Amino acid sequence: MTLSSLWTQRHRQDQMGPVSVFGFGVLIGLVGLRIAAMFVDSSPRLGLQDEQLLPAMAGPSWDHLLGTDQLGRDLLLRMVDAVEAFFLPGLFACLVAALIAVPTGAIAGYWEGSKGAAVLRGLLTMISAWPRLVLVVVVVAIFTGSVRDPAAWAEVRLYLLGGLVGLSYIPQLGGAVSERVQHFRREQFVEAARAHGLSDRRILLWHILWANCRHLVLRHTCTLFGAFILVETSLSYLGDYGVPPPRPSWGNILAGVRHSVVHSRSLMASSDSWSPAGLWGGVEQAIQHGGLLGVLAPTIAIAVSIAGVLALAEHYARRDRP
Amino acid sequence: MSDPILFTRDLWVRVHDPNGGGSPIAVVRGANIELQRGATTCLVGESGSGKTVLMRALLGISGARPGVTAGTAWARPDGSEFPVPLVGPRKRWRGRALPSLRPGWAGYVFQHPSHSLDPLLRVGDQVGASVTIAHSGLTPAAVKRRVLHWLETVHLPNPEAVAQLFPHELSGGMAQRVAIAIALATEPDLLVADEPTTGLDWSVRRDIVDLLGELCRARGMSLLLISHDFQVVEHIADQLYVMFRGELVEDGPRRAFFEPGPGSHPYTRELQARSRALEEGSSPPRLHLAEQPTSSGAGCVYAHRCPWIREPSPERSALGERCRSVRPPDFRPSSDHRVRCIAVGEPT
Ligand code: SF4
Repeated sequence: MTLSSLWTQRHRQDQMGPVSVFGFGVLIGLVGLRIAAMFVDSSPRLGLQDEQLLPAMAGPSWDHLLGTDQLGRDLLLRMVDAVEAFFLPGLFACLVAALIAVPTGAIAGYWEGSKGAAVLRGLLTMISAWPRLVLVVVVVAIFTGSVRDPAAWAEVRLYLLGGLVGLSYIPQLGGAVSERVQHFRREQFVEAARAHGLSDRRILLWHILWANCRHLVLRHTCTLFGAFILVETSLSYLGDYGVPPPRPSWGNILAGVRHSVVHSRSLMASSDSWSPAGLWGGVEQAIQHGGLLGVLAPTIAIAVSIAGVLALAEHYARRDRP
Repeated sequence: MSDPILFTRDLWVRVHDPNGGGSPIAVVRGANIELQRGATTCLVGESGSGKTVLMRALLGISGARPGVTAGTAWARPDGSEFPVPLVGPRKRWRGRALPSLRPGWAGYVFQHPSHSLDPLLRVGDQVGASVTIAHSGLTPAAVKRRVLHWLETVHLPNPEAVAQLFPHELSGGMAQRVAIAIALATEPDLLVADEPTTGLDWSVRRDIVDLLGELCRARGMSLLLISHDFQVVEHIADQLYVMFRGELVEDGPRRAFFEPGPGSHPYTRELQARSRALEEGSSPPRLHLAEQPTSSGAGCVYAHRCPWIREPSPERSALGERCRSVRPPDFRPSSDHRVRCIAVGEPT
């Protein structure tokens, strides 16, 4: 085999499949929305002002592309602004998990059999024994009220959530890293490097963690980010522990308009839904008057975002094993 | 004149039974080995004979199973001697083994090149890591220059391009050359190659062995070549050790093995017959595995397989009993040739 054919072979392998393209597309979209959210102020946080003048649950129009919500606020702006609720706290969750789990797992795996490794392993097991959601709810409940300023508390609460979800993910990530390190520690190339006198630190950091665990860690942090979106939107939907209104979250947007679902269902049912034209008429009715978009927009946003980061996780999982 | 770079005195390695039962099993029994400066020493024996364990215990590389060592080993990197801290495989990840005492003093080439390279790092970076062991504080450009130099030294075509490749893009022979370059880049005094030709095509094996021999001659480096195949070592061996079940049953200079002369050990003859048969393409002589080795430790280690007591000639009819009960003495056909066999030493 000639060198040039080897080159093309490698470039073929590096090409991205549709899953990767989708994942990176969603990632870029989320980053874009997060940046846009910095310039958007959908709900003045001190009371509601001129938005009250808009009709509630209005259908889409050129001024309000997605219509308005139950209090007459622009839905699109709120959808964009809601990215703030999970983006940085989600990254914070990933950071917490990675910063603690990677060194812990690496040490537990590399010096397997030593006392320190046994202690670390015990800690990982202890954390994993906590049910994630219960942990989150209990800790948030404990902290509730400890910060006086409600706006600041909303912010703190989100990062607290992020930290907790990150913590609860540590056993999984740490376990995966330590298993991988254990595996590679016995590889011949590690033995060769040791035998040549390369230091343990360099072997662990460079040969094992950087070269052989990078994709594994990225894959797990992507999954974690997806899990955080789910936790944040679910808690916000349920109310007490998530994003407090008037701050928007995809979860509480959905919660706000959920009563309209019943209304739009009745609108759709009243039309003749057996013919395509009739069906479309019902949907149009529901969009114009029933606030169907208020339900669809956050649902689709949540689904697409989670699917996107999971696709990224899949992308790294594929990279993980050459 | 003898100027060993590394030697052992009565080196034992015992490993614990993986099933946890009983006393440890001796896998290396009282090995005395001397690696001469600038010479090629070959350690020959079938797989499982303890050659790799011996090398690992000596050079402080981890083993798969926990064990203990006894005996002494001495290294003489530059005329002055120092004891080698023998590393029982149990202390695999700590302890001051030879590599950490003298980084870069010995280079290693393992079997299966595909395993001895990090699959996810570029070839150039892996050679570069070795370069930094030999010379700290080089600029990246200087490291790169040396990397290309070493890739060229092992006769890889187009080193610039090879340095950018990942191991899975290399053929077996190329990968083994890279592994040799990685070992060489630490600028060692001693190169250890453990079955460097397994997993390679027949056509490439000879090239790799010739390359090793050529490099060692050119750089005045000592080479320890471990193999199960006499054909592999024939071209380059200066000194040979034959190992069977943990014991060095014969050692001597190359002429003792490849030229007709006074007796050689029956096990050596078996190995030679096997590799000759393999090269000729005929099927190798069958092993007689029916009989289990004696566990008592008394007698000859080879007794359960030795053809001389299996098919005794009239003169050797009384041999079997003695071989199984008496530890064979060392017989020396010449001053530098040693055979551990009762029958070889006796006129028949
Ligand atoms: S000592 Fe006996 S059993 Fe051992 S090799 Fe010699 S003849 Fe065979």
